[in-house]
Amino acid sequence: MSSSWRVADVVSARRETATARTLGLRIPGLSGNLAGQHVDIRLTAEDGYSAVRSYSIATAGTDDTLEVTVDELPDGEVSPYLVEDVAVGDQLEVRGPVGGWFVWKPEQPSPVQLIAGGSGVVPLMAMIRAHEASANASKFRLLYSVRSPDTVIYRDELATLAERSPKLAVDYVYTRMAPAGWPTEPKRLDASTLLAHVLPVDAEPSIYVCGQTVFVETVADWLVRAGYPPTTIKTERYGGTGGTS
Amino acid sequence: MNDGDDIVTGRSNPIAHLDGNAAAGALAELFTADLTTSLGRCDSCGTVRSIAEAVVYRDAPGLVVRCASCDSVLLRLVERPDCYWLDVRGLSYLQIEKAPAQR
Repeated sequence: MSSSWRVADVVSARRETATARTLGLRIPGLSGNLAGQHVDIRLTAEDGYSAVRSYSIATAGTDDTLEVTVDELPDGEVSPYLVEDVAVGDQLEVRGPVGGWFVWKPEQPSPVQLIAGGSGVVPLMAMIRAHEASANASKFRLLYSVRSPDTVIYRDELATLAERSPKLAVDYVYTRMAPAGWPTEPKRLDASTLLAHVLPVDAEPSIYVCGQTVFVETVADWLVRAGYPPTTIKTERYGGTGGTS
Repeated sequence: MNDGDDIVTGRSNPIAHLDGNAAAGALAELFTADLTTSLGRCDSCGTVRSIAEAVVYRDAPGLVVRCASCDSVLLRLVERPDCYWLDVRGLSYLQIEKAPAQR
């Protein structure tokens, strides 16, 4: 099916961190989405100027609703409105869900290593939620690089899942400020820290990396040098300011 | 949030780019199949990879998709109020998977 712009209703809004907010969208005609897909959101000013940005979907449902989590960029054209201003009952122009490549499907047999930088956790959370909701028993491991504890998106849900789920493990790397009593000093992610916190090469994991462009490229490089086959590593970068149309 | 500051690396890339995946929405306006999961051959260097793995620049006027191996332009898409301009000179071919219902 080709896909064009539709009007979505904002049906829920939830603050995740000081800069991130989750919006629930109801999209007429939508019948679910795959874990890892994104939607494009278009804002149009009264003078006709419009801006389009892509946002990862945080859920993997089967009905006409989905959730996106938006992290506010200080100089953004779209994200400040979505994080600070839009309210339940408002409408947004949406295209998608789209993107069939950076996705996880419950029939995939291999274990999965997820690696997130900052708000790159959003599409990976959709995969974790889809995995938890499925009968797929393969091992999932998330490595989540964050600046400080208060920037962790989905903190409570991840803590609960990591404690209760036998098939999910979550590791954090704090780069600027660690929680009180954390065993290691905060430091920038390096290759040895990365490799100490991911499923080993011989487990043959499918690997998904999402974050800012430099983060994604550097992590993928370290993984390939450590012997993970490039064909098992899927990446999703963000960091472009997007485009206008 | 600039996570690039939080990683040990000497590299920097002044021009932000995204994956071919980010072109999915614009291409979905025109094509019934998901072109980002299609394999495309770079006409310049011969590399065959999925479009999702190419490099996308969206800050240009329109959308520019470049080969991840040699940086040649594979595809350009510009939207005007009344039409699209699509340039695929940089692709020798696309191998487009059929949806399950088409097989």
